[in-house]
Amino acid sequence: MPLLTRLFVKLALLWLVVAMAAQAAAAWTPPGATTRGLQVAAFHALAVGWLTQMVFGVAIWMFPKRKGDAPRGSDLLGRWVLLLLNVGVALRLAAEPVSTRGGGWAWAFVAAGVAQLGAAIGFALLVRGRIRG
Amino acid sequence: MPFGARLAIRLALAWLVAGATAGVAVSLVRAEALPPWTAGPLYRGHVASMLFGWFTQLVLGVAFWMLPKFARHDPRWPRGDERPFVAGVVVMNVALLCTMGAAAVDASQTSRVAFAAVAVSAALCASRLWPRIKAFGV
Repeated sequence: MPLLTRLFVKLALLWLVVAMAAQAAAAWTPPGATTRGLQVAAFHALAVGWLTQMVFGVAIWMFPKRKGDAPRGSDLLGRWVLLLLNVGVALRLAAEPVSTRGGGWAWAFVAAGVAQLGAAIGFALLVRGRIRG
Repeated sequence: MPFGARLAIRLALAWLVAGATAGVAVSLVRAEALPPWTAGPLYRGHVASMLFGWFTQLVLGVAFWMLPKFARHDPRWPRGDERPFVAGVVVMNVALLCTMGAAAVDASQTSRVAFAAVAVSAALCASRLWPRIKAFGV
């Protein structure tokens, strides 16, 4: 299994644990805006941090390889995808519970979204040439 | 990788980018950079893109590629007749596009028809995967 895949899969497992912990924290918090924020953040950690990240890691490993020097595509691009995805999810998780206090926290969501969009575009570019017969 | 799987996986990647873009737009509503009335359609578009366009379509595509092939098969179709699967993928994507359009103009009847079409497409794809969940050598 290539190093990049191992990093994706291990971080995915960490996000699974974090998502479940956030969900548990939401269950133990009195109902209110903070609880709702925690639930939304936990859902993102699960859908993006766990599921999407696991898909990315396994796809980089399993999709048909290219011929030549970089059979799994650019390692640098793969690392950027890893970084953007995890920074995006972490920022989202950090911003959601405190956003109810107002201020400029709403722009943290935009930054988190842009980071995740960057990861999505990067991943599409990374595997584009490997979806073939 | 067969044509049906390539089609489904490529379209799944396109929906991933579209869904993430819709997610950024939803966060722009929260930052008050977009008008509040756009929140509902954008959120519905974000969820449908990610859930059906990305996850579901990717899983279907990879399953069509990876599930066991038939031991005794028509040489043209080692995975069974591919055409219903391809039709299912096409219907799913057209229906999802209609769902997006319907959400934008709040046309709930169109949205209901589009979701029914998504269900039909899921049945078409599942019908091609079902016989391949089998013991080896069959």
